[in-house]
Amino acid sequence: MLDRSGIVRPVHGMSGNLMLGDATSTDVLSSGCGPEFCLLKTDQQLLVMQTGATPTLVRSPFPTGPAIFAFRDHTAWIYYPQDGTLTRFSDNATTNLSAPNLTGEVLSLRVTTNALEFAVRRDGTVWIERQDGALVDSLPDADGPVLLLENAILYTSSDLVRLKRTGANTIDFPVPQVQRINTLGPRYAQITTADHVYALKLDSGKGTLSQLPEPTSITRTVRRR
Amino acid sequence: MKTRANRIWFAALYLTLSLGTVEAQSSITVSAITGPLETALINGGTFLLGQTAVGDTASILLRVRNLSSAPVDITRYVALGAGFTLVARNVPFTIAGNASYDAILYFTPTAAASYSANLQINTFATQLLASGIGPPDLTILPTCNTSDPHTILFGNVQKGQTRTCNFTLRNPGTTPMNIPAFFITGSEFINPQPLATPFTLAVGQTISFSIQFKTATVGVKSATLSIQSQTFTLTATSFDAPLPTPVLDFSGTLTGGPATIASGQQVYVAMRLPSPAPFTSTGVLTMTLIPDSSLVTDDRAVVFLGTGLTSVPFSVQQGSTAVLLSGQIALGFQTGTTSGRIRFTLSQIASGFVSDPTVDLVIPRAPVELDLTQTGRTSGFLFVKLTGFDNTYSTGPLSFAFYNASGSLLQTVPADFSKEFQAYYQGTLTGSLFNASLQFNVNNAADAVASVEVTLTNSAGTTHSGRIPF
Repeated sequence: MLDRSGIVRPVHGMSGNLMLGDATSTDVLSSGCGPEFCLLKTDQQLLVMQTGATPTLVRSPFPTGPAIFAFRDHTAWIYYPQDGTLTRFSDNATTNLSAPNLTGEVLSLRVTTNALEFAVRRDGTVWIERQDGALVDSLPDADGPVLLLENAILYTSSDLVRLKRTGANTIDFPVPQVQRINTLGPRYAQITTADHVYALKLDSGKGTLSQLPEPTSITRTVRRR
Repeated sequence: MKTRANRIWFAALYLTLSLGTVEAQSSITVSAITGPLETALINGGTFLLGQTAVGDTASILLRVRNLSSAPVDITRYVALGAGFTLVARNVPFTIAGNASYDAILYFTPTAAASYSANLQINTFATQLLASGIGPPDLTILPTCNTSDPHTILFGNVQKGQTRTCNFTLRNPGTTPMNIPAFFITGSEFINPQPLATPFTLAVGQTISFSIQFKTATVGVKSATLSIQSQTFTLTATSFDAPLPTPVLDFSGTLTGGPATIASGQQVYVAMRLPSPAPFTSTGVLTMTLIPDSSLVTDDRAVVFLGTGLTSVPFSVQQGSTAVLLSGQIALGFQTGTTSGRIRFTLSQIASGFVSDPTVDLVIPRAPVELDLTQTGRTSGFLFVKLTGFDNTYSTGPLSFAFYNASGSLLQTVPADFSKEFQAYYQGTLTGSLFNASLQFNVNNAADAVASVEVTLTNSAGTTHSGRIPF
């Protein structure tokens, strides 16, 4: 979990019963978690964190600023909005990929069976496009952060967070003032607002929204399991 | 004529000498001064000092005037008698012509009795008479009491309310008792029927009076009751009225739906008063988990969401029934994964509540809750991973029913992991969450197994996972 002050903490428990662990990293601009590991981007560094372990530095040159992550199994794709470059991360090493041919502000990234897909805001509309610019979908009512998931899209529209699943009805959650949406592991998305941080459980039919407790000193005693 | 004249001269001489002696005595006068009143003392006479309460001290100023223009030597100045003390210059001393000298005479009776003393100034003598009288008996009637003989306690009195203390005053002596002073200083204590002073208490007479305390502010209040020469401190502690006992409402959820009071939930608590608050106040709402299971003492997931703590401040404005929790109308908290009671207590309200505000929210025992089931297989092995919680901390008996692709039961494998679960849960502070990974050696039959259904039993019931495909 990446809080508003750039501190990353592990989250224990399950929907409706969440506990925060000790801070593992600070000054983090972006974070994302796949099934095997999490990636953290500070202004100058990229860190990889296996489940339950401390973050380690990925020793490669990276663009400064935030990053956008996508995960599948043991591999992650990293897009750097600062310069529009794209890399792949696996086996603790990065490989530079050809930059996507996109116009607009890249908001999110996902890996499908066939290709990388990007959420791009252009001319006031969010478009879902492939790396070569081929159009996949659009979100005309999206007006804030967007998170592309494997079989769904999570985005904000007015004071709602909308979970748009492939082949299913869109589910709305009343969450105003959303500032950021990012992954919180393979089963949860983190929704950060001006006042609170929420965890949205994604694998249940209708989605379950829980508020994360604010971090306090008592979380330091949470037993690792 | 001459003889007569001589005789007259001798007589005059005698008279002159005689007058000289008289002058030595009569050139001074003695008076007693009490306030503006000056009373001449008569040589050879008596002077009444009046009554003085036992233990008190009365005083008068004695003034000796030299009426002549010649100085007068004072060679003796005493007041001889028990209870009397004269504070005067040591003799001999001289009073200049037409001058005066003041000394103070004190009278301090030690018992209710008559006293006398002989005042002597050179050859001037007069008898001083006084009497010691016992003070009036002040009796404090029940509801009020004393911490010492001169402090009267009105007790704790709610702000704006009146506390009345009743008293009797009796003359225990054998002579009528003059009460020159009877008054209260301090505006919050009043005598509703003040007595005009001075007044006299006849022998054995008893009068009744009352003093009422009322104030508009909280705190320790005091005043002084003066009776005769005695003073009594009146004291009371004023406090706010108790708050109406708040009502706690647990019906809300994060998404606005009705709350389910069970483990693994985020519930919103709101607080209101059944009647307007009599004053603005702030306090603390604290929740404490009382687990059913003896294996654990706490569940640290039971916290308020906004603070991550088990206590939050609350506030209510005077005249309002709405109570804000951390400044909000309602505040979310987690019920944890432990059955028992979440006790909500209120504190730091000095005036307390009309009745006990403690509320217990019962978290019922429930069958095992499965959050995630995962399966896997390798050559010769099947894997089952269960994630969930058991709020009774009593699970252990598990059963695994394996099915083939056509849905036929291949085999049921019972297992009892009670000891493992008990050891795992013992002393935990993070609730009953568990991740259980199980491995089954099926030799070469792994491919024949298509799904598994897990049954978990605890003291509250049985949970079926449903068919989980491999």
